[in-house]
Amino acid sequence: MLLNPFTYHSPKTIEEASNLFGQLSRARFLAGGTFLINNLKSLKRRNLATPDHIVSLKKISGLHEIKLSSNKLDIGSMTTLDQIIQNKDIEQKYPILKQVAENIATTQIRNMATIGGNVCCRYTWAEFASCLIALEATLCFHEKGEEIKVLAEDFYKNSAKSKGILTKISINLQENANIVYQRASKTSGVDVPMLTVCIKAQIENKKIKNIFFIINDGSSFSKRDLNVESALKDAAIQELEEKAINSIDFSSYALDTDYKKDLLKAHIKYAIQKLKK
Amino acid sequence: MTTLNINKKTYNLDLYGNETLLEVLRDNLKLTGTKTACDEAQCGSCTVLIDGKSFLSCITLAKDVEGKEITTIEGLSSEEDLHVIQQAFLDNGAVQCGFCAPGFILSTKALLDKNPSPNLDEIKKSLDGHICRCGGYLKIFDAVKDASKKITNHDT
Repeated sequence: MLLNPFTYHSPKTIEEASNLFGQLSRARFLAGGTFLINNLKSLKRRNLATPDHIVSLKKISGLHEIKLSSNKLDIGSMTTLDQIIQNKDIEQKYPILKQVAENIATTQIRNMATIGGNVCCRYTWAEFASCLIALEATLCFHEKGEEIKVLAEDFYKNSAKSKGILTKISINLQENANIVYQRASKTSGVDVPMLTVCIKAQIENKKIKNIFFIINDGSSFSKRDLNVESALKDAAIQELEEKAINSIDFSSYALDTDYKKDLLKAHIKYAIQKLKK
Repeated sequence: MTTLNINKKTYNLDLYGNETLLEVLRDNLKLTGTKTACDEAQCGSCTVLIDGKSFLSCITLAKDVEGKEITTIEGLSSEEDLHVIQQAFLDNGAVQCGFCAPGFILSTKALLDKNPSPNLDEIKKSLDGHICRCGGYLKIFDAVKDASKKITNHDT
């Protein structure tokens, strides 16, 4: 199907993109296109309004790079999921990012989709949210000539509303932290997750320190479960599963059936078992 | 004017800007080997190679791939002979109705260029973006393994 008419723009710098977007009405940014183009088709089919302008970020230099220094990782917002999977530095120092990227969609989509698109798409089940919160990532936006930094946790508390153009994601090296990611999907094949559990913790003298316990129930953005974190603080390793499950307030999640509650309990156990290893 | 490099040929096209690559290939250039099936990035029939990697042309804007090297199924073989992967698909009964085949073959090309000797799990993972409505998956995996053997034997 031919998309509804729009004017295509391909700025070469972030400033040009920002200025252009500010001047145009009914404009949308295009990153990898794996969400936007299908959305445009869907809107057309339903006779709904579509953007008049598409501003492609693909030709902007500097957004496609992965830079690792001694204590920090910077990932450009237009870095594709496949680039993240193939990067040896990420595999070694931040393997959770590779694990999350490998689970997303299909080979072709991973070649096209960008981490920036996954962060800014505002789909509640988008998978990078949990691990970026766990990694205490900082999201860097360019808005009207200024750089704005937002912690990933705060970004998702604010329903993933972007401040300008996401340029990069910065992650400080996580010394001695174990991070595990567990996802539940309906099928063993390609599927979006029904729910995910992401845990980051340090284990010292068989006790838990500095825990981040993040749950995504599929219908709201990933968030830390502070009840669970409080219950697990300084907990002994052998108590983790029971304390975690007993401290969950299921009413704060969209788990309207016993099956879904049992699914969350099971995946909490799996995640904790991974953490113990 | 939009300049596209497709199968090592340069095409200068007057595009509006809202055309997908799939539409340009099939409607403007009559390269109908790339198929329109689901048109929503689910089935893999529209797969092309862009700079050697598999992409879905139904969700790629044509203007976004200026300057890239695009390969369609037509660009895989020479005038006289089929590519070893195409031949392997035929030899192993991996083509039933044939509609999914161009996409599968191009993804196989991308896989074997990067990993000439994949195991079955790697083959399945690499082809996870394709649906064969005829259900011919096992034969397709056999064809990929066969092509892999032929390619690695040829190189050694």
